[in-house]
Amino acid sequence: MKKFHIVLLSLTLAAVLCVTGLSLFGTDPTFSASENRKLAQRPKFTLASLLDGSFISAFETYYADTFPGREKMLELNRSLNKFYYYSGSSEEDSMLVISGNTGAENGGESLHDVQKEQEALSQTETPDDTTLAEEQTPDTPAADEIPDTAQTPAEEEQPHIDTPDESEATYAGNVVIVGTRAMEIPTASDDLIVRYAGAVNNLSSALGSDVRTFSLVTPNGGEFYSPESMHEGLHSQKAMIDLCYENLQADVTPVDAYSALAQHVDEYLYFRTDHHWTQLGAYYAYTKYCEAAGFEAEPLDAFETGEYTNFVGSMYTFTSGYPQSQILKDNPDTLTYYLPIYETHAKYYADATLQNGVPISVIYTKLTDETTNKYLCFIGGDTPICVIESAAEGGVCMVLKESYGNAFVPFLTSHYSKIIVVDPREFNRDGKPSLDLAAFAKEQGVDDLLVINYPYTVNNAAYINWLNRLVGKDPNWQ
Amino acid sequence: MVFSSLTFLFLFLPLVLLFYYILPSIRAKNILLLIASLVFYAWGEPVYVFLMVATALINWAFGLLMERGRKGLWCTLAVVFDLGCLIVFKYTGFLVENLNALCALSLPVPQIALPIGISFYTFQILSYVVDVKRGSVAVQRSFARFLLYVTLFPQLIAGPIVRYSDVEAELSDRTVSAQGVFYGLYRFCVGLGKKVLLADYAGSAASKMLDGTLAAQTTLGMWFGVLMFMFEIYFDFSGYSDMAIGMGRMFGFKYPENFRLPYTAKSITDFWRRWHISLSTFFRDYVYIPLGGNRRHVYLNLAVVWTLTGLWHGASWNFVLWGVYFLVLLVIERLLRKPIEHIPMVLRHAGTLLLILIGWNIFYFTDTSRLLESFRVLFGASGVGFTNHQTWILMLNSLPLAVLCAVCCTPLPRILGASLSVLCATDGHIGFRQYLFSIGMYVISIALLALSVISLTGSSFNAFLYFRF
Repeated sequence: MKKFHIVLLSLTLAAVLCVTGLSLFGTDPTFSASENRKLAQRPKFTLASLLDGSFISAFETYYADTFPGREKMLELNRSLNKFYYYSGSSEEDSMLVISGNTGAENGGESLHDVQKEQEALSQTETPDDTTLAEEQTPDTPAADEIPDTAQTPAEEEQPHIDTPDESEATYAGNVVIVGTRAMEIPTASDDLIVRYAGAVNNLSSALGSDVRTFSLVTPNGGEFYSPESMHEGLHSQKAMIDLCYENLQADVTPVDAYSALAQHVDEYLYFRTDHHWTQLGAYYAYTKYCEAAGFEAEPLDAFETGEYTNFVGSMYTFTSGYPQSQILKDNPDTLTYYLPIYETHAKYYADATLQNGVPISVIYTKLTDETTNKYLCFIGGDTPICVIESAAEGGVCMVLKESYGNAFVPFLTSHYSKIIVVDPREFNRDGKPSLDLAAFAKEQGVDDLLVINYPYTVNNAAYINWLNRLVGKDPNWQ
Repeated sequence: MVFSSLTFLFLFLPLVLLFYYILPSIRAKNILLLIASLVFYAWGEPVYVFLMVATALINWAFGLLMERGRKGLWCTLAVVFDLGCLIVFKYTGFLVENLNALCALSLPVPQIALPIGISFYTFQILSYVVDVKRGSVAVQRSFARFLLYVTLFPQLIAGPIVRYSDVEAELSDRTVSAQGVFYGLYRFCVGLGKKVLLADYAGSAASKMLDGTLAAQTTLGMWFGVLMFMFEIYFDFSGYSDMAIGMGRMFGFKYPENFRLPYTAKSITDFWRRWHISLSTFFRDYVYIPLGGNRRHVYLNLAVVWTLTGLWHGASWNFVLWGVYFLVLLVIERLLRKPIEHIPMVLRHAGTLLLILIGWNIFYFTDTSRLLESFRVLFGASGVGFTNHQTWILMLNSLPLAVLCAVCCTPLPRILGASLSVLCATDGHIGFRQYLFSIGMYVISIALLALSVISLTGSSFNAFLYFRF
């Protein structure tokens, strides 16, 4: 018996030690396809990093990220999660609630960065340098004028993942999967919503009475397609929008996108596998904007359209560790885009000096399968500043937005000759350029300012600070 | 380092075990264990490891001094020093905050990070100095051996509180048997499974119910959340104790049991005989009885013990309240012993569980306003009604887990194991059936280990979206 025990124990220890050896001396993978992210690398040892604990935590992350057979184990864990995240016996009635949120409101993703990463990953496989500008020439010959734009200033200095510097980031809600649809369910923080309205008021005041300011807060899909108790009370996005609009000062015009979307809920307004709205959803919001701004909206059938099928978006990625996400993958979205009616030329810039612009398309019609996030087809995703020049007659519009604005902006090309799109998340933070929005708007001769956001950003303290910082109204930031 | 991490399971532990079994003498094994324990602690606390070693050194010196006489004086000094350290590193912020609130001061609140395990190793050291003073254990002359007692990594950061008298002999002479190691492996894997496969998932379910805006929570969701926390804290804590006991056995130490199916208790008094036994017996032997125990001012003694028990769990008023809550319940049980005996056993069990659950709610919310709000939601005075769709989905998602947790709180797994061992019992000679029993234990161990590793790897899953804050 003793021998038997010794044999079993020795075998176990030997097996574990084999894994130890593999984990230490095996080759480390650098990228996880299933998670769409780079894996941690072995940290450099320094005495300082040892003493402040950062070396150990980096090593733990690295060790877990490069553990032998990790991809296989993640797959097994997905099966294990069928037990831990049970949603009944029927596959069609898949249900899941995950706490927290995707964090999607915190920072943007640009087509350029994504393609750059893909390039870096498949260096050997793609002999020709297919940067964005060459893969699809934008609607402008500008690509020739600025030959070396692939090295964009935006990417040179920015670290890829900053450490969170906003201690005020708040718990904002849940992510749920009900049936074939995944949704973010925001939770209202009334004081934050009032502060958001105050920030829009500050923007309006700073830009002066010559600039018309519009505030557009759009609901997300959770408001219309989740079970009733998930969009009432503290989760009611209608209430959040109403509260926000009530607190706008008189010279800010609210845009009632909500009622337009609510009238068309049986249409394809929101993606099921992505947290964004479709461009059709954005179109209905646009009709309300036109009403508020005194334009005549283009009829829907005036646009030439195209589509991407098999789009599986952010909500799938976010939930892909859970068995319920399979149903999202099996039921992908179709993204329909509406091309601008007027000829457009667009570039994006790293900061307000507008130097070294990189040509982009208002809508990309030829994204390949490698770009899984098809929502990036709208103005190439999130860039710090994007300037669109349109052949349409009209003034200058400035848009402050996160990614919800991206699908909306193309419609504005019918009414303005120039549209300046600014992502407030990209300025006035550690490691990011500064921007004085009032001066910039004056310099550009801005006529209209549109602040367009969805409920997660309206309830986000950090985002509100970034809006305020654009006009020097954040007391904690100089 | 935590036991339930890949670095511990696949780097630290196997290497330590390998060298431990290779090394021939107990002396060499002790040196290895000491170095390993210091590395283990420094892994999580690269600075405070010096504090721990210094504390041990000073107490070791006090022990030597006590040997020469004036035991009372040296013991008092040692206790004052140890409790002083504990107060400074654990309670300074709390004390200053309360002083500020009480006297309308605005002293700066010092931000002192809590050294991991200080509550455990301080109590272990205290058991040594007090027992030396009482004359129930001999002075340990070897600093290395004393330091080994204090730092031994299986029980260093999460208990059980092993008294010096428990391991005095084993520090200098112990045997490692194949059967002991085999049992140790089994016990370790059971503990790991409790922690990784039950506690962590129950914790994430609890956090979904309890960490959001409480006013948006439903009454049922709140109760379910606290229930999941009740599972989490039991499986987490007893899992750690199991792992400690198991690893102790792998190295030849026999640690006392720390939990005896606490959720099968039939009264609160019974619960505290089953929950964190090494802590409650510590308070019994080193505080309650010296104060006079049942003989003199028993209620005062109880009040002191339960306030301290509460405070030991954390520097926050809710923990004090939690201790006082149990004090009140225990006093009531004392006063109403006879009438309680007439209550049917089923109701006594159910009532005890309910009271424990309410206790865990007090334990969970360190923020006073959230604690009050949580009680309002629990009893329907706040929140968004009894239940809603989200609560329903959350409960459905966690249903199999909740059932599994509930089953594992009962004696059922133990009964199954015992039945197996009875079935496999033979009349003396070693036969096929005993091999079968060993194989059964082994398969369970390895299965739990494998599932835990899968789950641990899964928890490193981190889908990249836009986290470019």
